[in-house]
Amino acid sequence: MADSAPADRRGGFGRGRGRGGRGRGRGRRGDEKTEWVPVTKLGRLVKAGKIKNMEEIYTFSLPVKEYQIVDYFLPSLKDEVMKIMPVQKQTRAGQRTRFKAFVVIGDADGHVGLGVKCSKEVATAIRGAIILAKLSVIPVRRGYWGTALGEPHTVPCKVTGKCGSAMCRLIPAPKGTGLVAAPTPKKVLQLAGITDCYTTSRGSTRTLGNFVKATFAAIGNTYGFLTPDLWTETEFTKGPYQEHTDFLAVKQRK
Amino acid sequence: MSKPISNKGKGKNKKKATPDPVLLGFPDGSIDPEQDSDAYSTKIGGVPVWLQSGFAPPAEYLKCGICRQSMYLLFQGYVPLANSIYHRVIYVWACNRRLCMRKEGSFTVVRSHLVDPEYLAAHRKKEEEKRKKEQLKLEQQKKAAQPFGAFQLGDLWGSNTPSFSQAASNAITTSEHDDKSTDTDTLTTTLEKMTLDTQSPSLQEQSQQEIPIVSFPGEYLWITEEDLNNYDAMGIDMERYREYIDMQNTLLEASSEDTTEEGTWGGEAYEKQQLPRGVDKQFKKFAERVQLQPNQCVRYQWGGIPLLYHQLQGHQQQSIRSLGGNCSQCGSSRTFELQLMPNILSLLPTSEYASAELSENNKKKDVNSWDIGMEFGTILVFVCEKDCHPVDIEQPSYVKEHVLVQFEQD
Repeated sequence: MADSAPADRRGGFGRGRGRGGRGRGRGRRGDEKTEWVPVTKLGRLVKAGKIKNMEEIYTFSLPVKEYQIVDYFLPSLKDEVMKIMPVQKQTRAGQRTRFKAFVVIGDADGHVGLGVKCSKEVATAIRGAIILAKLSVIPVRRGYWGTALGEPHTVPCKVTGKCGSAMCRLIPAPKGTGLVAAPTPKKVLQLAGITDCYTTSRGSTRTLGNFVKATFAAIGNTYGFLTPDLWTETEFTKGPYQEHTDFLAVKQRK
Repeated sequence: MSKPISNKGKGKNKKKATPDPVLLGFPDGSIDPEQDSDAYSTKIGGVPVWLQSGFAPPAEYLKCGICRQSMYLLFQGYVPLANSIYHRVIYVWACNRRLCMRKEGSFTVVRSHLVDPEYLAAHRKKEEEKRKKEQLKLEQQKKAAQPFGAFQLGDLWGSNTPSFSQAASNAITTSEHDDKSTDTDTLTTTLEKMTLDTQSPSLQEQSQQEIPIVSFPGEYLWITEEDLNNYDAMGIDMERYREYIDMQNTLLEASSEDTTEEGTWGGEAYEKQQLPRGVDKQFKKFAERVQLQPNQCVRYQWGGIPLLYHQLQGHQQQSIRSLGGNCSQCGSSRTFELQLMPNILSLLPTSEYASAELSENNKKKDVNSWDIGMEFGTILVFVCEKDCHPVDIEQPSYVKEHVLVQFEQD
């Protein structure tokens, strides 16, 4: 082998001749894990402060690929593990058991998310479900049952959601009613920030996985429902980025 | 049975049992523009510094293939290979226009060689010794083949043997002389060439006249090995779920006993996770790996496996070994060497420079431009496996290598 080549040549990549690796900044390694460095366009915009809140992301339906974006805007999200259950798969060598984690996350003020993850270990499943829940956070529209007095407290209209055979219907309720629901959707509605609501369900609600997803779909439909106060024409502005133009003009927001 | 001599030079081609570890580059302090003149430093941004000052690559390399404007230097790294006689630098340029993104020609990577005289002398000495050894062997073989062939009385007293040794020594001295003279010959001729050719546009003059040099402020890179020890935590405090984790074993036993669970949560089956739009499994792995050491700007692993930004699609769906194609100069296949990470876009002021350029042109449009300038998910650099040097050994060389850029998907 190269017996005559000096040893410092072997390093390659910047270490050769001792000039590349400057050896400074070693003390900075401590804070590596706490800081978030974005990996996507949207992440960079968020980190730079160009996007003010989560609602701007919802307006343009931008896909959120990094859960730290949600953490940045909604630091007060509380997560709750609904259930860990073992699921089994039949293989030639017997049965293989994995754990399925259901996690609901919300800030009790208009944002909810639901994450489902299956994994060989409980810890991995919970961690993965939390991240998926954060990535799936949606806004919740609340309204009034009667007079518009004080803060909105219930769903704005009757909405329904369906998953599998489980169907869940949410009906506006007067103030002070509380949540009239089964324990599982009740947790979801609490985290969403809905204080009063009547519910009706149909189908196989025993498959609570489907039931939770149905409730989540119903909550998501609150913003999908066109009510008369939304009849005014919207002025469409271009999103923060489009693929085929140089730059975008975005109206200054108040 | 291979001869011991022929094995020596082939150390590089031996397959290693464990691949080299991945080296990461972290930002290490900004570069003072006046001091940005070291061809051997590894940095992002800044001004490209050539191995032999005055000898620049062809001007075409520094222009974007689509809009024909000058490109910005993204990365310059000193990457010598073991057992090589060359200084080796890799440059990566990118165009800072959003319109040029996602098209061929907006990213360029160039590999530059300059022979190191000490290494060259050592290499030549080695070759010389090899040659001497082979010659001696040949002589010995010849001698052994004719032990009594040309036997004459007079030979015993050394009329043959001295002539042999003399011939050998003559051969050696003459060959040494030849080498030295050829060395000086080539050096003098190249020197002469460089002074005489003032009429024809030489490479360095061309590049300085036609291309305005644009650059970002530079940042040194500090190189270290990747550290994967903190793979578990990932920023989520798992202590809150201690009771669930402890339930794992009891759940396992429970599940194996009764298969039909009545009442509440029955009937669940394995379901694949629902990932949001634009996220696929490979992106998730990428994000998790980067999150362990989030400030990484460059990943280096000669002949290694790149960390893809998303799964390869369409015509690119092939084995990673063949992603690079073949070298344009020597035809051998290309291997992965390094990749640039999105943290570079957070460190270099790409959108500010792009908007500065735009506002000069379009002053009337009142823009709140958020998303201009270059973008990428990761940039994979593939280089010639044999590290070819297409010109004369004394000359510095510039070879364009293959770059594969992965963008975000919707």
